[in-house]
Amino acid sequence: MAANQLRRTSMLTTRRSALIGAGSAMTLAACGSRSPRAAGDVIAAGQPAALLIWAVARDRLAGWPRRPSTGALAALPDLAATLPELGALGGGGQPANLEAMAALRPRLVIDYGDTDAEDHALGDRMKTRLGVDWRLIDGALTKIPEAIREAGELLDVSRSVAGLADEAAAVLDRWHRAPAGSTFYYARGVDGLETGFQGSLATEAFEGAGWTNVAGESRDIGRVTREQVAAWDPEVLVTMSPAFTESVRHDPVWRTRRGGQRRRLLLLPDHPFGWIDRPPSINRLLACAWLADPEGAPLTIAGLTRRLYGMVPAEVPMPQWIR
Amino acid sequence: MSRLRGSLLPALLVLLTLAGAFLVLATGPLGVTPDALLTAVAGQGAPEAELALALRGPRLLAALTCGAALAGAGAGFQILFRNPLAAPDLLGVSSGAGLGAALALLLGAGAALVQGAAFAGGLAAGTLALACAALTRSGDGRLALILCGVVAGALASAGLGLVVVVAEPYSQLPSITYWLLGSFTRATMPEAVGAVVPVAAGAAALIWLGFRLDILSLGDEQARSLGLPARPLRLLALAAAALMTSSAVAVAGVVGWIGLLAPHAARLIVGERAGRLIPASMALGGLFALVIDRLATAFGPAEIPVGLLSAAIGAPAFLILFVATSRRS
Repeated sequence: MAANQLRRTSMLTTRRSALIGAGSAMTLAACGSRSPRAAGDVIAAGQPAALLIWAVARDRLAGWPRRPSTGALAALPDLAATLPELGALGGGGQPANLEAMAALRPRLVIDYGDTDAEDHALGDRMKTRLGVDWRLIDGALTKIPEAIREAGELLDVSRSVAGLADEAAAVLDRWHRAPAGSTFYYARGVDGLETGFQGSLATEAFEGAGWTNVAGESRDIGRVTREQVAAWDPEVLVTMSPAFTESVRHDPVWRTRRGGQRRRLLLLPDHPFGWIDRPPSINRLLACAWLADPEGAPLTIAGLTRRLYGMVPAEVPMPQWIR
Repeated sequence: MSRLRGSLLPALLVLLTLAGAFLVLATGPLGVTPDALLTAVAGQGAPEAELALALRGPRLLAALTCGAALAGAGAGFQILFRNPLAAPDLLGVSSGAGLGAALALLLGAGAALVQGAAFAGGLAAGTLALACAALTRSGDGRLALILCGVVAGALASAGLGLVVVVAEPYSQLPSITYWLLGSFTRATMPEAVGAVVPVAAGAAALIWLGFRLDILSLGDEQARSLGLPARPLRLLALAAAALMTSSAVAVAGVVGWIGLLAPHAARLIVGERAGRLIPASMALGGLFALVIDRLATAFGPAEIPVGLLSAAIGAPAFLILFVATSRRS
């Protein structure tokens, strides 16, 4: 036990030196001789994987691909703020310093997201370069329970995450059986003219719950014009941006439908992580739970945020219908 | 021929620009007919037509203003530097505006603040280039201006690169990318009107300079021998062009090629004299911006970034113009 502890301490020193040498871990450098915590041994390839590992076995997470915002860190348990920012090993975001990653001597790298040939090829390449096992878990929204179970097995915590996986499965089951919802337009960006088209990851939570995304005939994320939004005439504007909400709440062009009725505006929480994307990870379960049963959701969401993020239920934000 | 150049062709240009403006106003996904729109202009339209007018008006104004501003600034730079490859970004203004907007988006600012930050960033880069050039004593200062513009642009581009690297990849990065690729549709009417004022001031200064610009293009010594205060006038012209560029980029993002293509085309029509070249370039720039704005939404609901379209159309058009003029000369 003592030898194990000694080896771990020695490894930590090496890790810190290597990271400081690589100039990529200011958090650790700033800590001086006081080690904030024993770093985990699992690296997240991107932020979606980091959220999955955080939910399943947060003490095993070696660092954030991208450090959450100050506000998000304040809502998460203290452990979150002590983790260094490591950069991402694929996809978007600041790229990681591979040498600093290797110096951490991780046991495993987990990627969570698309599972097409390109993602497998990235995994193979990184496995060779880092000399570390790389596991790619399917990030489909409907496969969140399976992803939780798979991550639990990889991190040797199958038993403790079984409850979360079952809860996720129950939420998705209710979400899938939700009655048809309204037509909606998902407004992203400061001017609300970026949107997720039908079938995009960003709108999957709403579309799966029977809501109709008015933005069709294109793919993924794109920009549209305000006239196009008016022509689509959605019943509801969905956004996660308080700034956009504030700028359009009294704007008749955005808030008036073609027939003259008032268009509803739904502000979803973006804190500590987005409810329908940003990043597209298990955080989307919260939107599914709310969409499945808006009235009865608070209890479910309080339980989920505690299990996914370790948040105190009293601090859980809820969606708001803006007048 | 000279009469054609003097009055008929400029009039034709204005007519074409008006036709382009009508095309943008009269078509769109709401499907409002032109006569319904005209009724709305008169203030007695159906709600649907009034909505279409409220949505198309700012777009039309933004496209016209930005196209005219970039083309006018490009013409001004080309005359001053006696260089047909001079473009509005010569002083690093576009890169500075891009950096300002990207920083504002990174900090989560709203749309109006993003526009303000872009405007300030563009002016800051232009001021930096002018200030650095003022410190040098190389001839009439044109080379120093070009080099200092390159330095200011490179510094701003490096800063922009840094912002792109640290931006959140799922929300901030797409917003920054779309902003940089350009769009005439994001401006609201107050924002579009806000751009008209500095653009009009810059254009008025350039047009007032008129024949003085022609003389300045001959060099400082020649200008002084004709009694013109060369340095202050050049500074005024550069500041006016930088103001116009910065205002345009703040509204529309980085839209290239207009400032290069429109003055070349205008030169074929009205000749080299600044007094005619600058207004004609502005009319052509506005027309070109209207055309790419219409094309941007012509192929489906997703908007094609106007920066991409202006390059895709402007680059080959510029090449054709260049070949045609070089053969003629």
